[in-house]
Amino acid sequence: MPHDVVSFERLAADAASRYADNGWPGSKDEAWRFTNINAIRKTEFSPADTAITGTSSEINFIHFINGVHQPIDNMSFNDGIICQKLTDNAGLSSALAAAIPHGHHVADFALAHASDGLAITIDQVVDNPLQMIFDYSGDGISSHPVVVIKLLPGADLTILEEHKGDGAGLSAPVMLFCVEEGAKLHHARRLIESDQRYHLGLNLVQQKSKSVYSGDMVMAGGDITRSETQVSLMEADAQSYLNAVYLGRDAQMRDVTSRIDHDAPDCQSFQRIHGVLDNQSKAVFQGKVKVERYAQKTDGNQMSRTLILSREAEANTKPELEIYADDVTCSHGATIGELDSDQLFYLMSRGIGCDEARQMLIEAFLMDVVDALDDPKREWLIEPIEHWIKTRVS
Amino acid sequence: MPLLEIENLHASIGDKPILKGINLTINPSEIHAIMGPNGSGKSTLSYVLAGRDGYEVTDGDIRLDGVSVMEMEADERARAGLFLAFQYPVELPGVGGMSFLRGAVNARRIEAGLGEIDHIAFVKTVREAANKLGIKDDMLKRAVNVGFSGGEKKRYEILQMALLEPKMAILDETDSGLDVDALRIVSEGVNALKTDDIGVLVITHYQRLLDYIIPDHVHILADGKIVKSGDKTLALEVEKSGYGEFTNAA
Repeated sequence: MPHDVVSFERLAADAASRYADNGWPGSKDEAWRFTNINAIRKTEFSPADTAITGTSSEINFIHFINGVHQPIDNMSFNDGIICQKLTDNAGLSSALAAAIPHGHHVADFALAHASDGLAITIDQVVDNPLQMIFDYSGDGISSHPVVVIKLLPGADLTILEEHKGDGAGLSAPVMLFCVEEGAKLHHARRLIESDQRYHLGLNLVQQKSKSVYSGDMVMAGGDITRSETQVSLMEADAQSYLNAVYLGRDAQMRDVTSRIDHDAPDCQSFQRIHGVLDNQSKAVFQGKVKVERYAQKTDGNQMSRTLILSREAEANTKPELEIYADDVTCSHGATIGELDSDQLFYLMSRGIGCDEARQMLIEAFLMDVVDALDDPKREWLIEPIEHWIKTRVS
Repeated sequence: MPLLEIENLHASIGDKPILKGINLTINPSEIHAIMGPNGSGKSTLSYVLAGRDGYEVTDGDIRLDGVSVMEMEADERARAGLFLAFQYPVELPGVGGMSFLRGAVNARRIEAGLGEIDHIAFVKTVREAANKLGIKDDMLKRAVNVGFSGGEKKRYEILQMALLEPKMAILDETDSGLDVDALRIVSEGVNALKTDDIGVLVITHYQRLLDYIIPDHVHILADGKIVKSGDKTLALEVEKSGYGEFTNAA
């Protein structure tokens, strides 16, 4: 699809004017109804402008500090990975401009303040994973990493992505993944920022025919953490898998939002979301699946399960199916519940202490989502889950 | 000293009394059977003994080795040597069989000051014990009880019993859902444990399990009380004439 050519500078300027007009979403904005971001709205964040001089000898290693990536000259990659500044790649900045949902608060905020981004093109099968590490620090600082990754037809890539760091700052990453015909993107993301941080992320996925996107995420850190993923299945026979685990405690807020547009026939989408909430934490999973009139033979599945460990925790699920085609298989389900008392008693009757028995059941519930993954994705995601369970105060 | 003493045990679910004064003493190496019709309180008795939440003990005492277990949680009772083989073993999706068995064995070992069991030696022990009970290796690798047939679940209960080496084992309707072959294997498993001083309480509706696990004493439970006790011939009597006589009496 040809886009108007939009330079990154132009994209940022347009976003800045929209952000100036619209600001942050309010509680009357349906997509943010369950996600209280007053703490973010009330803070005047200073955009990060860290000048990075870091180097890394690691291959396929992309390191962002406060949203700014280290100089491209210092990076080394396997064949098949071409990495540029977004300001130097009008093609991908134009693709991003076209993909940004109209009036999207987070996207406008991030792009208004981002100084540059990365444009990564994958033109073949790459065996070694690409690591993207986002480090944040500083109080009152907002960080806005922008990344566009395009897999050319037949390419195959695994991304291991991590967001970490401390300071009462805001991370607002915006990413676009274009998965061309027959390409496969395996994407594992872990959000493990420290407890006082805010994270509002937007991920856009565009899939062409016979492409596969499998995105698995563990959301374990941050005070308010929101991850929104929008997938466009633009051509026939594409498959998309979105699996997420979210973990909340204390007064944390967790928001997993997804939207899948079935715009072509014979596509499949599968979503599995498991959350565990302790103490007074709150969460929302809102998943919209829209099947256009011509997207016949769509197979869309969505399942959300939440385990509540405390009477004060709160889970909201908001599945939305909008179907205009008549020959489709779509399903959704949502459960919210406590640990099963039969299972707990069975474990305890074998001499296993109550706390350990609870941990075993929580772990089993969460592993259900990630256990079947292949390494290195599996290992990447299990680590923060195990850490969370171990540090849970029972 | 008696192994298990149940003294004037009264228990309710909500406001409803289920157990209405049970007295029973089991000495080391004795096998007792409690038989009774549906609704007599058999399963409640097994759960109350094992320390399940949701039952209120309104009177009486339960002592294991002379020590009251009333203030102990289910896990403490298990570590003290009590074992309940469930009528309906619970599926634990995502909990691997080996880590479950190891967790259970280690919980007891740690309490006894023995430290965790050697991983490789444990796998070998489990395989051998499983082999005797006709449990395939493949079953050991699966999540606990997930996808097991009724008979497989019961064998898996007996495997756990063999590994945990309890002082006192309670078998709750272990024969239900078993065909004759499985019944024989499970019973052999129980009898194999009977070499030491273990006490066994078999809770059952039907007499047929008692053809394989021969009881020293048989008690009839009706309406929350033991209404008659005798030797193994009492079980045969019940098999012939049914529970009618006892339920009317109660």
